[in-house]
Amino acid sequence: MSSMILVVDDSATIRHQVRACLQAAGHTVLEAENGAIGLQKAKDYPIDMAIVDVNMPVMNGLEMLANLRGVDGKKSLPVFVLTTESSKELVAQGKKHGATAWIVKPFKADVLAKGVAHVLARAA
Amino acid sequence: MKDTLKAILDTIRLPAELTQFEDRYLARVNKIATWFFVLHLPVFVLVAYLNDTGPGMAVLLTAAALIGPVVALKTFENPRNVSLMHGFTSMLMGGLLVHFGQGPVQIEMHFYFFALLAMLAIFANPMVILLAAGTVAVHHLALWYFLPESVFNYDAPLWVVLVHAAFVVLESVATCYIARSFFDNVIGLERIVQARTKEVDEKNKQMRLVMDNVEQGLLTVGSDGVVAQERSAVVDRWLGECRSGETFVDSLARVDERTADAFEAAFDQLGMGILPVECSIDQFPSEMAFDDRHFGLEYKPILRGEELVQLLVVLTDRTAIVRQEQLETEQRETMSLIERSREDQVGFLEFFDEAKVLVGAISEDLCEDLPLLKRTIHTLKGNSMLYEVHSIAKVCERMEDAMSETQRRPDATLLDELARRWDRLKQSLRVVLDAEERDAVQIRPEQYRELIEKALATPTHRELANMLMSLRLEGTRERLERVGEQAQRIGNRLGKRDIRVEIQDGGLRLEPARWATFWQAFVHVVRNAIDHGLELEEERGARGKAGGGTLTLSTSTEAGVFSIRIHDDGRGIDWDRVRTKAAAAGLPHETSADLEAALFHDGLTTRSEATLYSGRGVGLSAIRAACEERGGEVRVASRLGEGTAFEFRFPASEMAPSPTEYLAA
Repeated sequence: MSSMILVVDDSATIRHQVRACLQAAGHTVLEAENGAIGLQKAKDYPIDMAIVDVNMPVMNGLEMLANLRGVDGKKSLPVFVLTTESSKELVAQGKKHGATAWIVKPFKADVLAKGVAHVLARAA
Repeated sequence: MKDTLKAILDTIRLPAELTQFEDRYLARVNKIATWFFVLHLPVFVLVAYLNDTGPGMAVLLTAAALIGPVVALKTFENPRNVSLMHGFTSMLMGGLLVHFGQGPVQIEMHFYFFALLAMLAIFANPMVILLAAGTVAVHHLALWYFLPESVFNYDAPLWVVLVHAAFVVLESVATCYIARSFFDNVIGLERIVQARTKEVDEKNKQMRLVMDNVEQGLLTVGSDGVVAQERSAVVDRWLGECRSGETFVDSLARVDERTADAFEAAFDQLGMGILPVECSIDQFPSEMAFDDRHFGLEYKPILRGEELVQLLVVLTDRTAIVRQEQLETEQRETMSLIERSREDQVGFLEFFDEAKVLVGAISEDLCEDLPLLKRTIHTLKGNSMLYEVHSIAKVCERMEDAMSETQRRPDATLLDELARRWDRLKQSLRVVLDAEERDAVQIRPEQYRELIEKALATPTHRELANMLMSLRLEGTRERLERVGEQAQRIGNRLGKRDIRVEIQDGGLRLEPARWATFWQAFVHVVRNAIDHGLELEEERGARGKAGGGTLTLSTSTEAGVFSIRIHDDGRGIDWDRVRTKAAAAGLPHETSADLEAALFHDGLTTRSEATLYSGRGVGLSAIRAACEERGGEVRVASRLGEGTAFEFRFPASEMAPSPTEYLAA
């Protein structure tokens, strides 16, 4: 089933990688280069899921996540957090802000695609 | 036939050895059986009385029958023999009941033989049943022949006795089977357990042997995170001895907290089951390093359905492989540096001296605040990239990643790694560094001062004093040429191959030590110009610009102002974008001076992503700081699409001390 997925990362390379892997799985991908733009796109488009980097300029991923949970209809939106290091504090913060899961960079495309498919199927 | 006979005999005969359990069990049952038979005495007296068959005789005969079990119970050592006595006694009791029960229900009293035979299974010994069956056969046949009224209340023919015997045989066969099964599976359980335990112990010993000698660390972690006792010996050698009940996170934390954290986070995620198992497994840390050793970590979940039962962790010591790779990389880097030192001795020494200071500042934690530390790391990374010391650049990159995510100083492991890599590099470059010293003409500072003093003392020798001073100075041409070469190298890496560098030095010379910090920071501006400023050739073509771009580097003096200028004919600064970024970062953004100031602000970058060369927003703030240190100011002139010029303006007196100033200092 095709879903609309928002990818928020300040690295165009990472966005490109994620886009390629999700498009190959038949999903529509929206991109944003920071949390603020991501949050706006999440409000404007009927997205089914978001994949969010932590460290970004303007608004970081965790702030975006916290704000997103306050948006109508996005309380239980599945969100994957992309991290370089899955430190205890970071994971705790992610959980606090309602991250569904976190994926450690560098990630494998097939692993990400599987995780996305699994979470989308559960949410459906 | 022989085999069948043997099988029957094996069923009847119990193994000679008695287990403690059987001993205790038979002692208890034999005692109960004895009391059971003692209770027959009053019952038989009553039966004899009711049937008028002689209560006195009942007392006598029953008491006689009881002698056997009571004596056996008190004297026999082997409880199985006591049980045999009970088998024999039981049939005597059956016979006595039939005898004293003479009358209309005498035949019914025969049921008691069958009830007793069944009860004998409790001794778990087929021999007891066979003995009882033999006893009753002899008893019945003999009494039928000699005292028939003791057995039948009518004139029973032989075939009736044989029918009774046939029933006894049938019941005995079945009861023997039950008794033996009872023995094997209940009474003999201890024996079975012992045998199995022995087998398991043997297997465990073999497994232990494997676990003690295998070179990989094999261990299992339960769903509660606790490390199982059975694990290969190297696990405890590598991670320290695991206490009973210790979690794997605790074991890892002893050697590497970062890996312990990452493992804990991934293990929690695996336990939550939000992601498919293979995805969760992929989030576990796959390598760790401590005490100068490198390990690979692999994981295999052991599942029951979808539930995690255990996680198999395989630790592999990769130190030798990593060291080999490291050695090869380091050798390549050393060769490249030696090559560079031959091409540009001064440049190489400057890189080396600067890197020494930067590594010291980072690894000894001398940077006062986080922005300064970030700048220092960033500068070291950039310089290392320029001189192709990728191993150092990579450590810097990892530090930057860790810092940008945690907003804290990099952990000690990374600092240590940097310091150690630097030490090795220093060692391997000793040959070159020593050679530099050998080639130099050495003069002590006091001798040098004396020469200048003497030259100044004679008015006609003022020129000589200036010449002597200039020995210590560096021509800006060499410096600018070096910068230009760096720019072209960066360009090559970024696919911008035809960058033209124009140099106008104005014949100026500078005091090297005084300007070292500035030139270190100047690299950031050069990197920005090449990475962000100059477009790729196709993009330039599309905009009607010729070639790969021109970088102009110049130094000049005018009206007491010494200026260093760098100009590129690239895409220029997008001031609107700077304004947006400045506004987002809460900086003043109204006037062009505000925007210029914002451009040099720590952490502000107009790039949405960082490359290895630039984009983390720390470079320009570093050059501003270096410029202000020499009492200078920065001017920026840039038009979108046309290019960017940075001009650094200083009082000309800052260029170098005069001979008099030098002596005064």
